Amino acid sequence: MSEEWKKYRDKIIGLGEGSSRKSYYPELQDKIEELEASRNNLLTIINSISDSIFIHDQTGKILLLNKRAQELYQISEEEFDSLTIMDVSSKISDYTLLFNIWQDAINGISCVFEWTSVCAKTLEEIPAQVSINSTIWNGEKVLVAVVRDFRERKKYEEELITARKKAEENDRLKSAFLANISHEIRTPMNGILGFAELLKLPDLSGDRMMNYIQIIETCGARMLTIINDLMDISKVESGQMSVFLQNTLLNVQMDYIFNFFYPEAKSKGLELIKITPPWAKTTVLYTDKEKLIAILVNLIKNSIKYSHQGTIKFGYTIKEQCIEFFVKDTGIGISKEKIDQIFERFIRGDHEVSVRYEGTGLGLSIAKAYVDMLGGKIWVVSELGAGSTFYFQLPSNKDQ
Amino acid sequence: MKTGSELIQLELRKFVAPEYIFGIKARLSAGNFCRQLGGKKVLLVTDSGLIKTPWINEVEESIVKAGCNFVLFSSISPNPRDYEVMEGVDYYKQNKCNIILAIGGGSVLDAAKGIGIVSTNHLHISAFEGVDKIERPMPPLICIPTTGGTAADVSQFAIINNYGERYKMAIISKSVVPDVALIDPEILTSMNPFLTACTGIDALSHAFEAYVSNASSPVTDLYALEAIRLIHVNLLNSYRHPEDIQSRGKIMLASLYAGLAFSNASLGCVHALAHSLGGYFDLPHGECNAILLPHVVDFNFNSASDRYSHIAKSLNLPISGLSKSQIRCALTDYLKSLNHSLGIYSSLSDKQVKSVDIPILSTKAIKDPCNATNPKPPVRRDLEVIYSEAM
Repeated sequence: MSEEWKKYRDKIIGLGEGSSRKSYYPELQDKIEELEASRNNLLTIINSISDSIFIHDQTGKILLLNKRAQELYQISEEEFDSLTIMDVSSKISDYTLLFNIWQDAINGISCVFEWTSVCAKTLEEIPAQVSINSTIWNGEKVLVAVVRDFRERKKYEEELITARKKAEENDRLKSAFLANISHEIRTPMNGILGFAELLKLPDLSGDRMMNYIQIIETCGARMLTIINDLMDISKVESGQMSVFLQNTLLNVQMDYIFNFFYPEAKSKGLELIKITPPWAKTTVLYTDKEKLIAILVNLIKNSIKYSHQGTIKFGYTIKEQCIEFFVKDTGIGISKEKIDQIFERFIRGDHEVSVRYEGTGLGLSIAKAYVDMLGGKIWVVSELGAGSTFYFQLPSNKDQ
Repeated sequence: MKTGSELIQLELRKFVAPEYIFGIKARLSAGNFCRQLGGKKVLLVTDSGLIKTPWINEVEESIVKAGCNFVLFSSISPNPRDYEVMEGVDYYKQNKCNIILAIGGGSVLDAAKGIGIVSTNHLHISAFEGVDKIERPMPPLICIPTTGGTAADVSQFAIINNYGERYKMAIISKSVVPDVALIDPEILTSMNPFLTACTGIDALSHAFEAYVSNASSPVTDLYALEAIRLIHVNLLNSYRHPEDIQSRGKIMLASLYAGLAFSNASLGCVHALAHSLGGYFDLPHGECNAILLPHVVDFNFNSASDRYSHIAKSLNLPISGLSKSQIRCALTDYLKSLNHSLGIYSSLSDKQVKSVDIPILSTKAIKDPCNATNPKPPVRRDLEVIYSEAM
């Protein structure tokens, strides 16, 4: 027998290489290992993703959810199979819309939409972006929902909207301020120029001349006040304003202020009353004296400006950790709508107010900026038509 | 008969067979097996003749009942052609099948094997000609034989006609042993007498060749001799009384035994010669075997006289006291007269074979791997002589 035929014979009777009966097992084993590895990879990826993933059937019954979804919606692995997508959706959801989206996805049209989900335990609403696709699960067509937590984004959106509103409001206020400030500067400037012109008249009596000069001085002083205010606020805003702390005898400052405003109040028919604790004649506050005075001046100046009768009381009381100052008037008061904004720049009560009363609207914001710089706080209690009381507290720092 | 004290062969051997179900209504478990083997979409392979029988409908119903789907592929001619196999593969792939159920004679079963091989190995069917050429297992294959002879339902052989070069390619591999054979004698009742005769003689040739094969073994011997005995006693009756279910059952069993024998011991020159002849002239395989078997026995006799004597005894031929050459004559005479009683009178010349064809036929035949296990290793000239004698 030839060698070749001998080889054939041995192979046919099944003793050669590759002569085993067919077996699917090695290949199946390889495939099973491959599948297991790829399943593990997939699970690792699914559970590493920072979006929540739900696999659910066409009735919404949850079949699988990833780690992130378990954490965010507080669903344990043991309980998810009793839950549906409705259990993690806001009660006011439009389910008809949702079912339509699912139907489309099953038909191959995937969809990305915004949805209000809720935590299964706390019922906290979680705004989300949902991306829906269909897949096969145990031989059935089901849906994969990839859910992105939009809470942060919603927060940013709201902040952005607020910031935009504020910027628009600021812009509007700035324009109003500019118009106002032009008016405020022009009025005394007209006075100065007008009366300077009158001074040139040849046969001007001495009394008149003195009168004109006084008017020019008043106008100049008013302009200086405006310019000082502007410079102060701009210094505060640019961070160039420094604080100079020193021991300050409070009653001395109170007397000074009382004397300063007494004539003005009197000329307007207002009673100015200073209230200080009688047993604390030598109260010393370690603070910036100039700024303290500026705060009180701004507040009392406003009180006089907006009051037409009655009394203006100011003073302080000693609290445990601080000195609480107050300025109380019987003026026009501040409306509820405006009271929260009263310390912001350029705000001057209502439009009507700004037309009737001169001023730049910087006084209260300077006062607040100074109170902040001195580590205190300022607030107001007011009733429209009955008057306002401004309070501010400064810390009584005893380590001087 | 053996006494039990003879020396036996202890050479390393292996025996391969599918899971097989034998008995009436075995066909009806087709769907069940499809499901058990993981079938989702079944390629149901058969031929145009069988579609008219009730068997196909029954099998289809059992597939559906088992929860599987199926598609039917029946473009297979006798002596299945390479291009038919390739068409079947396309059909298998187009329909995303994952299992093959073949119901038919040797042609259908071999074509189904071819489809299975190509569908997982992705080469032309001719790439697998020869022994152990198949690297990847084919899809699960369930076979329901409809003829009592081919035994393709249990064998590691698939014979496909290389249509361009007009010869039959022998594909031999453990990979083509089906997963399940459902052997149902009832199905044989749809065979006509000529087919009964041809396939019966095919089974007889399987048993003869396996028994005298140089690769025979005690296990295959057992099956081969029992097959010969069953055919000898029952084939004529089955031919004359097609509805006799007992006869059909015995022939079916004989075919199974012969299949188990030849699948594991291989064949010899009868099949080498028949593959070449049947491929070239597109003749029925069983008829070729019937014509050639007596002449090959004559050629081989001296190389395996003891074995042939055992066969003669199994056939109850009165050989005691006869010389070897007398036994040879008795055996060849028996085969020729069996052919005649089955209505097979032809010689090769009756089949339009001319003497000028013989060199071509023998050139193709000598390349057939079946020669490897013939008890007497032939040369081409030997095959020419056998063809000439069969003219």
